[in-house]
Amino acid sequence: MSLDATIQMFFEEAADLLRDFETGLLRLEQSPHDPDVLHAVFRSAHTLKGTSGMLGFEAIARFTHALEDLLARLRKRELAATPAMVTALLASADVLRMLIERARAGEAVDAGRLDEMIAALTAHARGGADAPRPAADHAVEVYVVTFVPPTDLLARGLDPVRLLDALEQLGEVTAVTPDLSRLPPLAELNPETAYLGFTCTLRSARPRAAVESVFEFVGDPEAVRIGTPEAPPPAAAPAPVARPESAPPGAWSGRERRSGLDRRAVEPA
Amino acid sequence: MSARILIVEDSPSMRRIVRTVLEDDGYEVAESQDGQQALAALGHVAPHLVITDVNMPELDGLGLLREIRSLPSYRFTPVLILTTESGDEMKETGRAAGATGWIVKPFDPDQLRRVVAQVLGARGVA
Repeated sequence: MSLDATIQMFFEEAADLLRDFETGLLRLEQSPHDPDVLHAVFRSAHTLKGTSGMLGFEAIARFTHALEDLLARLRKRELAATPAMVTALLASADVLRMLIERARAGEAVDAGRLDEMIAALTAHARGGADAPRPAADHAVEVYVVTFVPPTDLLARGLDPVRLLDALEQLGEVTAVTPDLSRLPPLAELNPETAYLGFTCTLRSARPRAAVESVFEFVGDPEAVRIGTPEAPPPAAAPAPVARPESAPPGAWSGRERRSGLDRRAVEPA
Repeated sequence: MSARILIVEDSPSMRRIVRTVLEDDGYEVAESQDGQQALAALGHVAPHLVITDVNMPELDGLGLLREIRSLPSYRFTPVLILTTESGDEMKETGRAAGATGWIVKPFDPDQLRRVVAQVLGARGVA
């Protein structure tokens, strides 16, 4: 399938999404707090952001990204949908139509104007009086993270070591204490069951949501607790020690396993 | 040595998009168009990660996932499912079948990159 056909499909879809977006906004005017309407409008913007981004339609992607941020905050009730905001959203539908038409015709959009329009949306998004911290990076926080794996963690291809790797991508992991309390006697140990948890301290400029998203596939909200040094999560480990260089006995090492997979003979399916 | 990723998806344009995004990040990408093809390809591709659509003819994504999990060499291989459903039911079904994680379609390229890097770990790309 050629790229042309993909792009053709994108514009057909964009027209539908724009229509859904506008219809949703008109309903939003009538019921500014209806969660289903907010969700539908958000989804249209979100989808358009995704596909336009994938195909390199920068202006559309940037604009819908700003729209999505504003709609996300409305959905989360961090902002109220005032008449002024709904008017701004309806105006943005016109802008979106223009951006799609320009993209279809292969014409550029005035960068200055686009920036202005995005700034207007961003200003609305920041406008919430009781807004929590913005999602952008902020001052360094110290998180204390306690992780207790569900026993099927390894069987699903997840790995506590990779979770620690992912935490390290967010900042500085300064102390890791393994939690050995669930380890059975060696004779009963099943190497395919996840027993080992950990507690660690993470210094990071990223918001809490970024730390939570490291564990997004774990599947058990109780498995992860995130606190602070002043208010540590329940069942925090005793005084932390430096991260051990070698894995504790019985633990899977993600690196070892990966290199083992690389060396293994290729087996027929 | 880069990580090898097998994308299983019946839409050629979607396969192409995923390939482009992941090759840009330095991964090696192989493609299969349905679950049966994917199972046949496992031996010579030897992927470090499988990304599979859910709705496919012949053998669907969840069926493929169960087959993969029953193979000794792939019991612990990360498998991500691509699904249009964002609800909890699909997540539960996927989890029960052994999915490592999921990506809801349509997705941002950045989100795909982030999730792939997360499940492959810091050493995913040489």
